[in-house]
Amino acid sequence: MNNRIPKAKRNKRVIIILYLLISSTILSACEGTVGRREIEDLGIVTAIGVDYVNDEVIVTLEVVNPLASSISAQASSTKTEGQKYVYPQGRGKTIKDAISNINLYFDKKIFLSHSNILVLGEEFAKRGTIDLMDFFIRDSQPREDMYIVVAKGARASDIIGVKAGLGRPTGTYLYDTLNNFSSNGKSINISIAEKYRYYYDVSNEPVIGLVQLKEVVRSDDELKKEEQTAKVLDVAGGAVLSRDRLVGYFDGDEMMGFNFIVGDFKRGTIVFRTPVEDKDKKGTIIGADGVFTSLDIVSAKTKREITVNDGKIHLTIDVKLKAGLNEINQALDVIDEEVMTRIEKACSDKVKELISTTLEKGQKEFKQDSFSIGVTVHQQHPKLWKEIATDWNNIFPEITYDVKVETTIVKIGLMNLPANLRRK
Amino acid sequence: MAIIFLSFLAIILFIIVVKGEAMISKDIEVNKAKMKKIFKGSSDLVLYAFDTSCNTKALVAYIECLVDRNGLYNDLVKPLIKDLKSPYEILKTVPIAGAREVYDMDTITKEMLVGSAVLFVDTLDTAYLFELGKWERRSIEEPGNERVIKGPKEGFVEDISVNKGLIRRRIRNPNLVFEDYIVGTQTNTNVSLVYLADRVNSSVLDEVRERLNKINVDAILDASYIEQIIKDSPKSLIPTVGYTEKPDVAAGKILEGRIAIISDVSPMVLTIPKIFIENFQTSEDYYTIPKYATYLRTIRIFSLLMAVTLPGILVALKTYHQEMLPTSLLMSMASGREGVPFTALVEALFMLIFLEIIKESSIRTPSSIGRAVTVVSGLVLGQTAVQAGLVGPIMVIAIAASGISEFIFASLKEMIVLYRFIILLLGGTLGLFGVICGIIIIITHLVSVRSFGVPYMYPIAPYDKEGMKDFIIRSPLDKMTYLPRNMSNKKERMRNE
Repeated sequence: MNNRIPKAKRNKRVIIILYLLISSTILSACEGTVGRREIEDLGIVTAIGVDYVNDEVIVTLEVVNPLASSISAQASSTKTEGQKYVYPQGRGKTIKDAISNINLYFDKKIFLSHSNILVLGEEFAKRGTIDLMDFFIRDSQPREDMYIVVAKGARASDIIGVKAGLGRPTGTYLYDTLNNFSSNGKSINISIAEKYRYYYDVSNEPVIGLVQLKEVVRSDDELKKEEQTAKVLDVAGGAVLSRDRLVGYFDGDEMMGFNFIVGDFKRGTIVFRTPVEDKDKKGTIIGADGVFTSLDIVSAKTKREITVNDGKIHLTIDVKLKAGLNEINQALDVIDEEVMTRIEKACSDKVKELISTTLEKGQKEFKQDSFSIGVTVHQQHPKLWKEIATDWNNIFPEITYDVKVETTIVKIGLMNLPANLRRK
Repeated sequence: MAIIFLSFLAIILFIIVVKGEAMISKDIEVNKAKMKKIFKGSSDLVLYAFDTSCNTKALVAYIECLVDRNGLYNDLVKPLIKDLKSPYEILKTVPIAGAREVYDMDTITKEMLVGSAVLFVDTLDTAYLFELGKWERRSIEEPGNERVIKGPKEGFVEDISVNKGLIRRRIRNPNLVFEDYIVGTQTNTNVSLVYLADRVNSSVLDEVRERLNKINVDAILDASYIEQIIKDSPKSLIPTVGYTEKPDVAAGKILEGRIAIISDVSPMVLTIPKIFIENFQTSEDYYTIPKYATYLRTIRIFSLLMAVTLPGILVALKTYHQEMLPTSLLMSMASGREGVPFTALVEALFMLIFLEIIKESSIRTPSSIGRAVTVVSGLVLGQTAVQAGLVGPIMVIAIAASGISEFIFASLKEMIVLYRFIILLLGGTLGLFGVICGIIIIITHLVSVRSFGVPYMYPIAPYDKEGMKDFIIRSPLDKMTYLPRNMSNKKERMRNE
C-alpha cells in the first residue's frame, strides 16, 4: 500500500502530521481554545437557585472553593470556615443572562455540570416555569438528571446557603436527602428530564419535590438563645404543578399516599394504632388505645384497575404490602396468629386512609390528575381514552374509587415477645 | 596463434598459482608460512611443530582460546609422539571423534575459526581436522528478564551448541530439526532454525528461509540484529518477532508449530511467528491453575490499556470533560491544581519525560549507586514536586500507575512508550475524541499487521475457536486438543503421526 506513494511525498506527509501535532500542543496552551478549560479556573457549582422578583430573574449559585474544602487543606492548616462555599447572585432578563452577569464580578468560570439540585423559588414556580427553563435542557452544561425542587414558602436564595447537616454544601445535602426518599416515602425526587417528560403528557400533571426551611429548637440549656434554634432544610412533601404552574402542596403523609397510588413506594415506616380490645381466651391483652406500632414496609406493589359502568369510571387500587415489625409500644403477643392478623389489618386500614386522603385532596382541592390515573385509563381502555383525553381534568374529580390493601408481616424482628408483655 | 597459446599458458599458470595457494603442500614449512600469511601473523595463532614416533615431522595449528588444550595434548600430540607407526595411520591412532581429512586451505581456515585444530604432516599433501573446540562460556543461570516462581529456571547462554542442547533435552523427538546457516560477511555467525518437522507451517518455514538467505549484513552481534532485518513491516513499533531467554518457553512455542531462531553469541532465541496475545502470556501461566492464569491475563490486558491511555485520558478529562469526573474527585483535583503554573498537558508531558529519564538512569546506573538514584528520583521528583506546586498529586499517581503497568510488558516497551506520548498529545489537544481516534488508529494498525503471513490479532481477527482456548482464558492443558490453526500444518495435538 505504502509503496504506491512516492517517498518524498510520504516524508512530506509525516512532516505535516508532526507539525500539526506539535503546533496543536503549543496552541492548546493558549487562552480561548474552544472547549478547553483548566480545572483550577472553574467555579464548581453545587446548587442552583432561580427566583423571579420584580420582572427580573435572580440566579443564586453555590460555588465550592476547592482549596478550603478539600481534605488535604483541612488536614494541613486552619483555613477560614466562611471561605468554603460562596454564594454569588446574578440578575438578568433570562437565566443565561443572570449567570453570565455573575462572571462580571466573580473570577472563576461558572461550571454548572456538577450541580445536582435546582431550587425554584415559590414565586417563580407559581408564575410558570416552562419558558425560562429552556436553558437547563438546551445548554450542554447543566445535568439532565439534576433534581428539581420548589422552595415552599420561600425564595430559592433563602434556601441556598443554609448550613445544614454536617457542613456540606447545600446542593450535596439536598441531593442526598432527596435520595433518602427510597427509605421513607414522604418525598419525591424528580429530575429535569422527568419533569419534561411529564410536561408533554396530557394524562398526568407533575408532582415535584419540595424543600422547606424549618427552624428546629434544640433542647440544650447550656447553649445561648440564638444558638438554640437551628435552621434545617426539610424535603418532606411534594409540590403539585398544573403543567408548569405551582398550584399547591402535599405534605409528608399525603406524599406517602401519593407514592402508594403511583406505585413508587420503595421503603418506609407506617405508624398506626392497633385497636383496643379486651383480653382474649388465653388472657393476653391485645392492644391499648393511644399506643403505636411501627411497621417497616419491605416491598409495596400497587395494581390499578379501571372499570367502566354506564360511562362512569371506577378506579380500584389494590396494594399488596410486605412488612417487618419495627417496634411495638404495647403488650402484644406477636406469636399469636390472631394478634398478627389484627396488626396487619390495622396497618392496611392506615394505608387505606393515607391513600384516600391524598386522592380526595387531588380530586377536591386541585381538581386535576396528579396521579397519572389517566395513563392507566389510556392503557386499559384506549378507545374510551381517545374520547375523553382532552376533557380528562374535568372528568377526574368525578370518578369513584375504592382501595384494597393487604399487608403481610414477614419479619417480626429479633424479639418474639415485647418486654412489657408479662407486666400485666 | 602465438598469442592464443601464450594466453592459454598464462591461464594455466594462473590457475596453478591460485590453486597452489589453496592447496596443501607436502612440506610443512611451506604450510607454516601459508598459515601465517592467511592469519596475517595474528598473535593468537599457535603453530606447534614436533617429531612423531615414525620420524616424520608434524605441525599442529589452532587458534588459542578456541581449542581444548588438554584434549589437544593428551588425545592428539601424545599418541602421535608415542604410537604412530606410519603417517598413513593417523586417523587410526588418534582417538578423537569428528576427525577428518581435508584437502584445501579454505576449509581449514573456516574450521579453525570455529575451534578446530589442524594437523599437517610432512610428506602428505592432506591435512587432518580435529574438532576440539572449547571456550569460556557463562554457566546456565536463571534469566533476569523472565523470572518465574514456579517452573524451570534454566536460561539460554551465549553459546549455540549449549542452547541447542537445552531445547533438544525438552523435545526428545527425531522430528526436531536444527537447520544451520552462516550469516554476516565479517562475523560469520552461526544461526540455526529450530522446528518440529511434522508440525511446522511449511509456508511460514519457506518464508523464514527466504528471508534468512536474503540477509546481507557484515555483522550479527545479537539475535536482535536478525529480528530487525527479517521482521515484517520494519517501520512499525509492534513486535512481530518474539524472543525469549528460557528454553521451556522456546520449546513450548516450537511445539505449537512455531520456528525458533538461535543465533550464536546471543542468549536470546527468536520465535516466529508472533501474535498479539503472546505479549500477555508467560511461561508461568501454563504451570499454575488455569483460572488463576486467566485472572492474571485479564489484569495484564487492563494494565496495557492503562499504560497506553491513562495519562491521555486524565489530561482530556482535566481540560475538556470535567463533568465526567465525580464531584469530590474534581474538587480534590482542583485543589491540587491550585497554583500549578502549567496547563494539564504540559504538566503531564513534564512528568512523563521525567519518568523516562528516571527509567533510563536506573537501568544504566551501576548497582552501587542505584539506590541513590531511586531515592533521589522517588523522593525529590515525586514528593517535593507536588509540594513545590510544579505538578498536581493526581497527575503523579496517573503517570506512576502508567509507568508501573508498562514494566509488565518487556516486549511491548517501545510501543507503549511512544503510543503513550501520542495519545497524551491527542488527549491534550482534542480531548476524549482525540484519545478515541488514537486508540482506533492503533487497533487498525494491530489488525492489519501480519507476522510471517499470520495475522497479528489471531485468534480474534480472524476468529478461531481453538485459538481462543489460549487467549484471555487459559483452558486446562488437556482441553487444548488442537494446535493454533494458523501456526501449524497438523491440527491435532495429541496424535503422533
